[in-house]
Amino acid sequence: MRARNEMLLCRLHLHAVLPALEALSRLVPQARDAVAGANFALGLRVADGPSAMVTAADGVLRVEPALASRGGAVLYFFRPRHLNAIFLQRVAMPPLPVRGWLRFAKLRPFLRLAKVLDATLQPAEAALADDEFRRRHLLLSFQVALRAVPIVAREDPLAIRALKSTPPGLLAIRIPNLEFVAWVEWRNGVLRSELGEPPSAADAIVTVRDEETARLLVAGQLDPQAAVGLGRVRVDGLIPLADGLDVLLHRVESYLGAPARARS
Amino acid sequence: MNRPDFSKSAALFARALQVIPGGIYGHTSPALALPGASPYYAARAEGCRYWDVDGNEFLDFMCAYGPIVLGYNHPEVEEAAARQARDGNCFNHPTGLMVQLAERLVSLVDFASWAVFGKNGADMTTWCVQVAREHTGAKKILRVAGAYHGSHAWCSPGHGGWIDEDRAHVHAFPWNDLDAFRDLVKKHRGEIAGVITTAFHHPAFGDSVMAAPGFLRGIQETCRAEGIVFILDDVRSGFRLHLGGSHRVLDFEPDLVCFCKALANGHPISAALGRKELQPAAGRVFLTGSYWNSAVPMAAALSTLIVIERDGVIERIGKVGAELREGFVKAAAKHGLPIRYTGHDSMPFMSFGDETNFLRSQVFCREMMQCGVFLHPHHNWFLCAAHESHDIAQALAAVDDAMAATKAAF
Repeated sequence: MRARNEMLLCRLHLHAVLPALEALSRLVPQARDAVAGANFALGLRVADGPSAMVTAADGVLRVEPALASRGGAVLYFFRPRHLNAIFLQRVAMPPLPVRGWLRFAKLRPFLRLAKVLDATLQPAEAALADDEFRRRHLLLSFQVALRAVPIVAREDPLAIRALKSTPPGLLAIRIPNLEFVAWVEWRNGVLRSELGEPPSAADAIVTVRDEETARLLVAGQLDPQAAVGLGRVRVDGLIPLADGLDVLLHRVESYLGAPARARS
Repeated sequence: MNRPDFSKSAALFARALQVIPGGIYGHTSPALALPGASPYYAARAEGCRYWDVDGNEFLDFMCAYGPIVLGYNHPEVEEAAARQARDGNCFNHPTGLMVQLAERLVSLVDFASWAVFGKNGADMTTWCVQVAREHTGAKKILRVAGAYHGSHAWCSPGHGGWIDEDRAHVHAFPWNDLDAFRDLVKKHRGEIAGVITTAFHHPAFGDSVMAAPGFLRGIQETCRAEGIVFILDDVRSGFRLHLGGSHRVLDFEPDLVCFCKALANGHPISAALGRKELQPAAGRVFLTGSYWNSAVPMAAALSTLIVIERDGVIERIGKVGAELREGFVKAAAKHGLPIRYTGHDSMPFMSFGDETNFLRSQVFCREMMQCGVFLHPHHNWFLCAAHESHDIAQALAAVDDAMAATKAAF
């Protein structure tokens, strides 16, 4: 289904895609270099919508889901569609600098980081031939998806509908080759997700057999149900919970995936 | 014990993925069972056993998910079907078998005065919903939350392919909650066309639950008082609890009943029967399909009904089902594993203690399959007339090993 919810897409950009800069700055050499000497604070604010703050200092980059009340430069977007156009690199009016414009010169590292992030999340096919690059692409893609699922769970009508018939529980996702472990918890009408080992015994455990399977899943070239049948993904425990998460991931894909980007 | 080889199943599945969405879809999808422990493709079957494409033999407690009530390849049924096949199956017209089968079913189901036929359970549940709406002029349908009535848009358990409008007039209440049902009736008084329930609650991914005393009778009384059509979805349990419909053993009487699975011992046919007052409405709701008049399944159904009655099949299934239950309970106690063994003895389900995530059930069923006994961790099981005491003994020997392995795994 075609995604038309600009506010939701805007939130995904600010609160799922943008935070991937943190991992990017640790995993990718060019990003690490860009952050090494950087010292900036940049806020992104959408009229009547979400905001986020990116700060870099002492070689560490952080992304917070709200603006700091003081300090840094702030870019103002007139509407969610405006921010989405910038994230999708479409022709759009530049955002309006509303705070700290004397500090804009310091933002060059951010622009470099944004380019590296885009190239890592939406890579050229040829780039994926490099093992290290592919690994980083997959790790960042899974992290974006992990941050995105609670957002679609709250705001996307089809995700909300799917969750109505999804049993509560804790789900762990493991990709041993990538050393990726994360969890998603659906309980009391709230969906949470985090990187790392689940806080208690999981009700469902999804294990992706290898990196190639992970790549095919991320690229949308392998149907998750088929992957299970092929033994490339194993699901133990509460299958309807994994099924519900599968719908959520499909909804994320409908907003952030390549086909959605191409038509937006 | 050697693990079964499923290489031919796997190869077929890989081919299927090139030409069939998901490879295998629906309730037989590998994603819903135990990939690596369960075969994907069957080759042949006989009695209560089947062989997969790799030649692995399984003592079967799923019975093709219900249709096999007499045993696979029952000679009398297959002979009746073959005889009709020689004369033809699909014609410009129905055959006399359709009339015979309608007469036979009407004679068996106490409240019914007419019958119609389709191919699958959902053909009938959906059509009965339409008949209820036609009869009452109302649009709302009440159903039990979590119950399965088919894969049509108004009731599919799947997440995709339906829109909210498909279910705008479908409302759910919890099984065994008569107050909740009555509250819904009160809330939508005058707008409700029908209520549909199964004979007992047998959801996938959940324990089976028999009706609490007065629950189904209470629904019936409310329906009569309010002019609501009461539809019994007896697709799964029909001809396993009672030859005349499961309502006969559960002390209530619906207005419409849907049969399918066990009706023709594996041949494709479903049926709906109803009270005389609903006959005019039934006549006005268009009902057809390319193969719905096919003669071969009707011949098979007539033969199946004869064998069920003549051989006391329902009692036999109940008896071996009780042996199976007792064996499970004993084995679980021996290994110190608390279990919940639920449902009717002819179509039971087992889960472990207070576990709701099926992790132990999956380990248990994997072990059973290793031992050549086909059980499902998430769906109720089925017994058939071909299960003999020695088959139950074989299954219970495997249960002992599987319980030990399950205990060791957690």
